[in-house]
Amino acid sequence: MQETILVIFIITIIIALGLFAFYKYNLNSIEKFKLEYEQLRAYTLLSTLPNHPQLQNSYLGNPENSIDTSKLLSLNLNSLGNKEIIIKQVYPKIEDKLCSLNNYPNCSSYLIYKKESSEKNINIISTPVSLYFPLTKEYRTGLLEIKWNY
Amino acid sequence: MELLKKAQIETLGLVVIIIILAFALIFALQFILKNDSSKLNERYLQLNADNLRNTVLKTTINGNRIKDEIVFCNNNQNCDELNLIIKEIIESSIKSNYEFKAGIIEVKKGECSNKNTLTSSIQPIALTEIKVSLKLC
Repeated sequence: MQETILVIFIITIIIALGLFAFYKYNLNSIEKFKLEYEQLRAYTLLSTLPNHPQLQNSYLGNPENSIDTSKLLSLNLNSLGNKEIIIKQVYPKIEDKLCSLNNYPNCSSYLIYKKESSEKNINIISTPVSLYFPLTKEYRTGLLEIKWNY
Repeated sequence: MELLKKAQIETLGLVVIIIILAFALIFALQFILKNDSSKLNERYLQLNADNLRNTVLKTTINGNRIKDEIVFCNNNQNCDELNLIIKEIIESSIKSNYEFKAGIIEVKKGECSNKNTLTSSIQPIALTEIKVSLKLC
């Protein structure tokens, strides 16, 4: 009888340890999954945002596969989560200034969305985009940059 | 009575074995069903290659688009200045090694031959035989 109790006790301890290990492992997996999910959301946004009607340049109703910079000055994007989205002009190079209605088009970066979070780790992804300037009717090279916290 | 006790202990043993097997299976399943994150990086590189090729061709220099300048320089066989501009655009946009080809224009950084590379879809320029491609590695 005593042996049986001892065996059951040891097995109970083993199962409890197993459950604890499994809980910890699952918690890590969920954290990792959350990170991957956020990463996927950011990459999806990076590929779809240049085609957003509020940003895209169009001629006679046809999309031109470029971003109309004049639209960026009064943009109102929402529900994109805790991110910072910036569009920077990289060619031709000009003085690094944040664009506003007062200094457009003599500026280099457009802050189009910002929602801060308490998370400390920052991940930055970017992709090249074509920037259209309707005042001079020219195209310049830019970078769409998404910073997200996790 | 003695036989019944023995049977109970054996049943308990079986239950323990099944619990251990269930744990092992759950751990194993998590490894088997694990997603490969390299696919995401591959798609990201592909997106950058396609976007960069489009952006380079669209950029305006001296009042003309680079696409038109490529046709002009391919006809005149003089692309030195354009090569430098394309190089500057690409290197200010990405940090990885690359190979850009458009007719006689060939701009590159580093060697792509022995590495994992991703090429943008090849884009022909209308009414010419020039095909534009950008390889990132």
